[in-house]
Amino acid sequence: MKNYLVKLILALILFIQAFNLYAVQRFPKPEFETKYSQPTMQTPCPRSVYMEYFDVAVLVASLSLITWLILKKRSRQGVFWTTIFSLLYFGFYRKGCICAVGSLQNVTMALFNPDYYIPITAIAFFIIPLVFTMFYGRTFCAGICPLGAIQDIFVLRPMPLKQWVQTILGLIPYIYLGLAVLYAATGTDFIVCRYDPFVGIFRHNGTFMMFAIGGVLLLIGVFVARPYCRFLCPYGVLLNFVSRVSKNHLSIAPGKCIECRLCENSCPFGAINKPTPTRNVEKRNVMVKRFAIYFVITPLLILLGGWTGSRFHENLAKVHPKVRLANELLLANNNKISSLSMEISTFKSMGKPLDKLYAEANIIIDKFYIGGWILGGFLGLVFGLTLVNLSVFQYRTDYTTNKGTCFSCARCVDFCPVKK
Amino acid sequence: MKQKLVIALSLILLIGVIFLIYNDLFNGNPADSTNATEYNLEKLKQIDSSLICYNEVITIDLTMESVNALTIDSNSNIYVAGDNEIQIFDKTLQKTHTIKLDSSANCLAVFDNTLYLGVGNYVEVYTSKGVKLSRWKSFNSKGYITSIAVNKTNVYAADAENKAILRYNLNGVLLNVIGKKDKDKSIDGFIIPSMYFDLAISAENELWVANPGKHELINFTEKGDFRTSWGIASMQTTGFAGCCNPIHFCMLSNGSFVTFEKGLDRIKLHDQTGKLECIVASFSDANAQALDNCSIGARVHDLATDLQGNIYALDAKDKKIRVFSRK
Repeated sequence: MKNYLVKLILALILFIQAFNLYAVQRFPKPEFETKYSQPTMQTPCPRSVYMEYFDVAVLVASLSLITWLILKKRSRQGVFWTTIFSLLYFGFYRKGCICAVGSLQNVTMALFNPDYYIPITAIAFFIIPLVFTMFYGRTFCAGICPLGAIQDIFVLRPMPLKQWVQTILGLIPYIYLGLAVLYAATGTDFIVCRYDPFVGIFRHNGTFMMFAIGGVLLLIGVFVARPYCRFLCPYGVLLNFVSRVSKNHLSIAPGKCIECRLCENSCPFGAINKPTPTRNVEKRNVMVKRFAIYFVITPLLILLGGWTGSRFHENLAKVHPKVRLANELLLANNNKISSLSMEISTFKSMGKPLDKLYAEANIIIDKFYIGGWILGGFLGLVFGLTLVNLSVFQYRTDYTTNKGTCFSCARCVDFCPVKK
Repeated sequence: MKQKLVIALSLILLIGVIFLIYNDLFNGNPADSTNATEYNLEKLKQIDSSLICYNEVITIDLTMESVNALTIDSNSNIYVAGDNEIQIFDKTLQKTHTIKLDSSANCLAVFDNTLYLGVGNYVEVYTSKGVKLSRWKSFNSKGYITSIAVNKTNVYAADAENKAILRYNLNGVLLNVIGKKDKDKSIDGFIIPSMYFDLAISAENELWVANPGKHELINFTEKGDFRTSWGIASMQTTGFAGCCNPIHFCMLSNGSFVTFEKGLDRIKLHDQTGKLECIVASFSDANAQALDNCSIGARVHDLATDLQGNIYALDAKDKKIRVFSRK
């Protein structure tokens, strides 16, 4: 009850933060009623290099602390207060930047674009949570990631989702990851940052859509816990994979599970594997046959996905500003649009040859053709492996955490009567 | 059942969020014929007609290349400064005579048949017939006088360069400087981003000064002590818009204020407390042309009132005096 009240108060404080958006400046911004919109701050002010290193140090220290609290102290309360610290530091103080989730785009861009200089701190923010996860599970998700932290505060009335719903929605992060990598690799955009739902709240500044998405996700999060982490986060895909090999992952019971079932419904994220009633639910040869079929069709799914992705490469490329401009100019020249956009007017005023723009756009579209194959193939692989995974029956005698999807939040440990 | 409903609604919302992102990513930023960064104030200039409480009743055409300042004496004679002269009209609006000047006057005031002109950094004094009486010593070489007002004992000159009000006696002796930043007197100083700095004396001989950078009108005692102020920054009619407004104002005999804002080109009437009473006029129709002509700057170059409560606006674009009467 006390914990519930604390969370409710914190949730209210976060809501009150939104009122800062309406704070009146001494000299108010001009209130244009034309279509001109005030530029919104996309990134916070640059930080000195030493302070960036300090951020890395804080990340390592807080990750170490929360890992210790989860694995050694098994303290949900400790995790909760670390979550608050991370929300304040990495969220409101650092204004959500730099974050590990977005850093995957920096790393991708650095890999595909030799001209791009990636700060060492961006690499650190990308690697360090993965390294911790490899050894200790997703302790970063437990309470260090500010995006997870803000949602965790709003987990007030979590309701369990059907497994099939989780499985289907769980495919979305793979699509998001694929698109994020594709657009970062082609230098199009950092879409994870562009659609970061909570950064507007952290910075007290952002587009209406940013606040709308953030607000809706927090509202959903009251009932469907951490919707962004579970059904959108692209970095979570990587953490999910890495966490599966973690040797020192959180366990519900510190000793032998006594199958008391007290923890059965304790996880708001549906990340507890229940014991299976029987060793064999189907005949062995049926299962093996199905597994073999799925295993064989997976390469076909990869090919089919790749081919489909390549068919959509022009649509995917339209997000690139240069391709979009070329497309608009083409339509304007064919009189398919009556009025000229500002981008077209600006381009025309620059005196750059149209053919050169089209040639540059074609090069980008060609890149997207390859990218479309890779993206589609990746999604085909994910779909195939999901089918394979569904066909694999795992016999369990204890209540265990699902290493891939468990956020190591330590909620379940409070329900376990087993002591060390 | 209730739980299923909540989950279903949550999932629909989640799918809605994903659709929003998809739509913005692939269909966002459609070709838009409007220039998003265009300086377009037309919508803000549209005034609710029920707020307009004055009619334009007369216009007086001026034969000047440039018009700078306007004032009216107690006999309802109208004085207009522009080019290197002053044109004087009687109350029947007939031009009676013209006073030739050595230099163009930026501002003028008339009291007891004596004309006080602000010319560059100094004040010149003429009789109403055009005889030059004196030229006062300038406050300093950098000064630029943009407004002048006179009563029985004082001549106040607004110096935009020095960001101060110069108080003289009627013989041109500088008595004191008003409005300089002074923490002990709670005076913040004037913020004057452009050469618009106006002042006026009320019927009760109170000195009011515009502080355009702070969107305020400030009342000082003649010794220079701060008495009161009013005004807020806003693009709405209730406040003063843009970086620095009002650029011109004058006062009615009942203590009301008539203000003019550049940018939105609107003349407004405020009561004695500064509360918006109504709109006198808005120049929305021809503003685009006015903006094109940088030499004109603001549409109205000065305001004046007569004892009958009529409001006179010196239209710099059309070279006219526009006279407004209460509906």
